[in-house]
Amino acid sequence: MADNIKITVDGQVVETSAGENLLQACINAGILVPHFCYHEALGEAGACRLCAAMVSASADKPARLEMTCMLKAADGMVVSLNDPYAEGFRKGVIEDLMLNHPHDCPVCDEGGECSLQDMTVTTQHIHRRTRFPKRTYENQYLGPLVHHEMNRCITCYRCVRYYRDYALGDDFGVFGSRDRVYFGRVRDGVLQSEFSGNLIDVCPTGVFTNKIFREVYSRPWDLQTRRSVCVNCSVGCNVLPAFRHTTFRRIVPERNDEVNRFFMCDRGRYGGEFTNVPSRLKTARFEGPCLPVEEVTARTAAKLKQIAAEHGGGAIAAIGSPRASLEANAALSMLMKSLGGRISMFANNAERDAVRRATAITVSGELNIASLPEMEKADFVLCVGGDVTGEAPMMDLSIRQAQRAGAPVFIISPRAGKLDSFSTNSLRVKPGEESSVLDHVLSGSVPPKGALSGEQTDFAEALISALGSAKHPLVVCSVLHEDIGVVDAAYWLAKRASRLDRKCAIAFMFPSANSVGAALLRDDVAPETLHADISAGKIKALVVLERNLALDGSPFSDIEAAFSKVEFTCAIDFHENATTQQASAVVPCASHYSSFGSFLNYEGRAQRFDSLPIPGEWSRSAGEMLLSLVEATGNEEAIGEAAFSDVYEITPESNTALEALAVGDLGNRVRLAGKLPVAKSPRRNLQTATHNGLVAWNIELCFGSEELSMLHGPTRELAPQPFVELNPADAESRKLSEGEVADFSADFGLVAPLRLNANLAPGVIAIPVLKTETAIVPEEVKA
Amino acid sequence: MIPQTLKTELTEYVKHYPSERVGLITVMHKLQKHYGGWLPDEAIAEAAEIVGIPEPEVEGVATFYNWFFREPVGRRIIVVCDSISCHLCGCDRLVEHFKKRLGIGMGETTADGEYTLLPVVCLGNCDQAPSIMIDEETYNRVTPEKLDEILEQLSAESAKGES
Ligand code: SF4
Ligand code: SF4
Ligand code: FES
Ligand code: FES
Repeated sequence: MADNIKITVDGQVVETSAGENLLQACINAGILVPHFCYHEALGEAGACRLCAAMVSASADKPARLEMTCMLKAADGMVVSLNDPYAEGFRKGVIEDLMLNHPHDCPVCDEGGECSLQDMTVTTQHIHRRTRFPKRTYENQYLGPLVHHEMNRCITCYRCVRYYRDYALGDDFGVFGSRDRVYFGRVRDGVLQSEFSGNLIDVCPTGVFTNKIFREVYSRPWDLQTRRSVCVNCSVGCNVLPAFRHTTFRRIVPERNDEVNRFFMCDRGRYGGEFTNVPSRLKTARFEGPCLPVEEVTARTAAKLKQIAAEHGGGAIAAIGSPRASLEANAALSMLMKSLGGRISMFANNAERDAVRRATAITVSGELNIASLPEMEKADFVLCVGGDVTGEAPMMDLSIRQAQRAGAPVFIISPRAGKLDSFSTNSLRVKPGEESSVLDHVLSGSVPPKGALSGEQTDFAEALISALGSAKHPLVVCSVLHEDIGVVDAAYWLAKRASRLDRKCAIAFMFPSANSVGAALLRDDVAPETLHADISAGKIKALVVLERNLALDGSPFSDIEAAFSKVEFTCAIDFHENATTQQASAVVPCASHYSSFGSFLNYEGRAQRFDSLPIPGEWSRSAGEMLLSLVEATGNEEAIGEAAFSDVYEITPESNTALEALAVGDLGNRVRLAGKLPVAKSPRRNLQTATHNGLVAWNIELCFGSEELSMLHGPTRELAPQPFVELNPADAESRKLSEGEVADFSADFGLVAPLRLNANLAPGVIAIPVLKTETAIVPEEVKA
Repeated sequence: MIPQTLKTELTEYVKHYPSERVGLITVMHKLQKHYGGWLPDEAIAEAAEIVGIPEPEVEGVATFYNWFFREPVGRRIIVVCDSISCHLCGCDRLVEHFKKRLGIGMGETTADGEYTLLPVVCLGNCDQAPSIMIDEETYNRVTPEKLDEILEQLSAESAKGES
C-alpha cells in the first residue's frame, strides 16, 4: 500500500496516496476537475490543457499554472482550481476548442451527455468572438455500429489512445497535423475491433456515436435505465440498458470494479437488440388458440397434473437454460419437484460433463479464479483450447492489457484467433491434443521419443521456462468445445504451477451467461438420458425454458421429431422460434433486459440484474411465470420457504449471500458445499471422430456464434456467411482450392465455400458456429 | 508496385535499426522518389509491409509531415513561408507574383507539371524574411525581381537537363 498523504484542493484537505495522478486524486475525492484527455483507463496525455490549476509544492512555495493530469500527488501540495488565473486559462482553452466546433448541440446525438457541452457551460464561455468559417471534414463510413462526425473533434486523442494503444486495434489512427488533425481509418470501412463501441464512450464529444441508437434518437434524460448484466457470454459485464417508454434503445457499460470496469465488447453493446425483435411473443397459446396467460398457465398446470396422475412423475421432464436466471431455473426445478419430474440443463452429455467439471473447479475455492482486473495484472498467460475473442470477448481485452505490460502470452489451440497476433508462442494442435502437450509441461520431464513433435516440444519447453519465472501466472481455458480432457489439463497445470510463493490463477470460458448456475443445479439429468426416454416414448410432458433446441447442438435439434413423441410440450420464451412453434403450449416471458434475476458468471460471481416494469401480461420474467405455474399445480407452500440451496449445490453462506445480493453490488463468488469432484490425475481426451482424415473444430465467432445477438440488430450484419476452413496442405491433397464450394455433406453435413488457413492445424476442418436462424414473425404480429 | 530490387533494398535497410520502425521516414522518402514525388495509396501499404507496422501509422506519418505528398505534385515544390515575419515582410506579394508568372495559386500545380506552390509555417529564417524554399534550396529576402531571376535560372537548368 502506497503511503497516505494529504493535499489541499481549493481549501479542502484531500487524502490520497503518494504518486497518485493528481487529477485522479481530486476526482476520487469528489472534486470535479474539468478535463477531456485524461481517462482513468487510458491515463494522461496532457493534450487538452483543460485540467489546468495553480499548483504549489506547499503553502509557502509560489504556485504556478500546471496541468493536474501530468502531476503526481505529493504530500503538502496545494492545488487551486478556482484561482482566477486558472479559471481564465480554462475558459480560453474552451474558447479555442469552440473556434471550430460546430454549434449543433440541438441536433447532436451526444447532447445531454457531452463533456464539451458540460465544460463549455462550466467555464461560462458564451459568446463567439470570431467570425471566420469553421474548419470542416468529411466523415467516414465505419461499419454498422459506430457513426462518425469528425467536425465535432476536439483533438483530445482519447480515441486513438483507446483503439490502438489500449485495445491494440490496427485499423484506426490519427492523421494530419495542427488544425487539420483527423481521427479515423485510412479509408472508409468496417472497424475491425470487437471493442469498437467503446469509442463512443471514450470520445468526450459527439464524434463517435451509436449508429443504432441515433436512428431512433432519444435524449439521454428521456431514457429509463436499470442496472443489468450482459447476457451474451459468461463474463457477465455490468451494463445499463436503456428504454424509452417500453422500447429498448441502447446498452452502455456500467462500472463494476471487479468485472468490466469501463468497457464492454460490441457483441454485448449491440447484442441487446433482441429485446426489440419482431418475433417477440406477446400472447400465450394453448393447443392452438391465443388465450390469456392465466388461462394458459391454469390449463398447463392441469395438464401436467393430469399426466403426473396418469403416468407418474417419471413421465414429466423439463429442459432448463444456461442463459436463464438462477431464479427461473430454480422455479422450473421446483415445478418438477412438485410433480415428481426431472430437469435437464445442458445440450448434450459432453457439454454437461465439461461445464460441470469446470464449474466444480471454479467454485471449489481451491484455485484463484481471475477477475478481469486480475487478468490485466497477470505476468504470464496461457490460453488453452479456444478463441478468447469469440468466446469471452472482454477476457481478450484484459489479456491484451497483460500483454502490453509485458506478459508472455502462450496459446495452444487448433486454430489461430485474433489474440494469436500478440502471442509470444502459438501452437496449433488437433482438437483434444492440447492435453498431451500440457501433460508434458506438467511432468516437466523429457517425453518419450516421438510422443511430441519437435514443434510441440519447443512450445512446451518455452512454456515451462516462462511459467517458471512468472509471479502471477494465468491459465484461460475454453469450455465451449465441450472437451473435459482440456478442462482437466488446464486445471492440473494451474494446480501444479501454484507454489508456496505464488498462486496460478485460472479462468474458464463458459458457453452461456449462466452456465455456472446451470451446472450447480442439484438434480440435473444428463440430456442423453432424457433423450433416450423421449425416444422410447416414456416422457409424456416436457417443459422447455428459454431454449431454442434447434440451435444449441442438442440431440433434440430435430424438434418436430422429438416433440412428436411427447403428448404435451410447453415452451416458455420471449420470442417465437423453432421450439415455441412446435410446442403445444406457449407461455411468453420478459426478455433478458426487461426481467430481473441473477446470473453466476465464469468466476461463479453472483450478480443481480434488474428491469423496468413494463406493462403487459407477457412482460413478467420467466421465473415469475414459472412460479405461477408452481402455484397453479397447488404447491404454493413450497414457494414461501424456497432457498437457493434447495435446488443449487451451494454452501449455506453462499445462499445467504445470494439472498442478500442487491443490484449494483460488486457481486460475490458462490462456492460449493460438497467435495471437489475433479479427476485424480490428468485425464486423456476422448478420441474425437475423424472422417476422411479430418477432425471437425467449431469456430466460435464474436459475431455469429452467440444466439441472442444473432436474433436481431446490427450484430447480424457482422456475422460471416457460412464457410469451411482447411489447412492449405489438406486442401492440396484433396485438390481443393480457395473460394471453391467444397462438399463435405457426407462427413460433416455441409457444403460451403472453402477458405485456406495456414494458421489452422493440419488434419482439422474448421466450421464456424452460425446461430443465424431466420426470424419468425408470430401470428398476432402478422395479422 | 515497386520493383523487387527496391523492396529487398528497403527491407534490408530497415533491419539495420534496433527497431525497424525507426527506418520508416527514409523508406517513405525512397518510395516517394520512386513514385515520382508523391505517395499513392499503394506506397502507404508497401511502407507498412516493409517496416512491419499497421497502415494507419504510416498514413499518420505521411500526412503529418510537410514534405510527404499524398497527391501528385509538380517536379519542383515551392513553399512560401506565410508565418508572422514573412507575412509582415510581404510574402503575399510573392504569392501574387507566382500567380502572375506561373499561373498557379496556393496548392496548385502548373499545367506542364513543373511547379507546385504550397504555404509553409516558418522556415526558421525570420531574420531574413520573406523566405521561400524550392526543393531543398532556401532563398531569403525574396522580392518579385529576385523571384524572376530564380525562376529563369531554374528553367535554364531544366532545359539543360532535358537536352
Ligand atoms: S474523435 Fe473524440 S476522442 Fe478522438 S480526439 Fe476527437 S474528440 Fe477526442
Ligand atoms: S464480454 Fe461478454 S458479458 Fe461482456 S459485454 Fe461482451 S458479451 Fe457481454
Ligand atoms: S486532462 Fe490534463 S491536459 Fe487534458
Ligand atoms: S516567419 Fe517566415 S521564416 Fe520564420
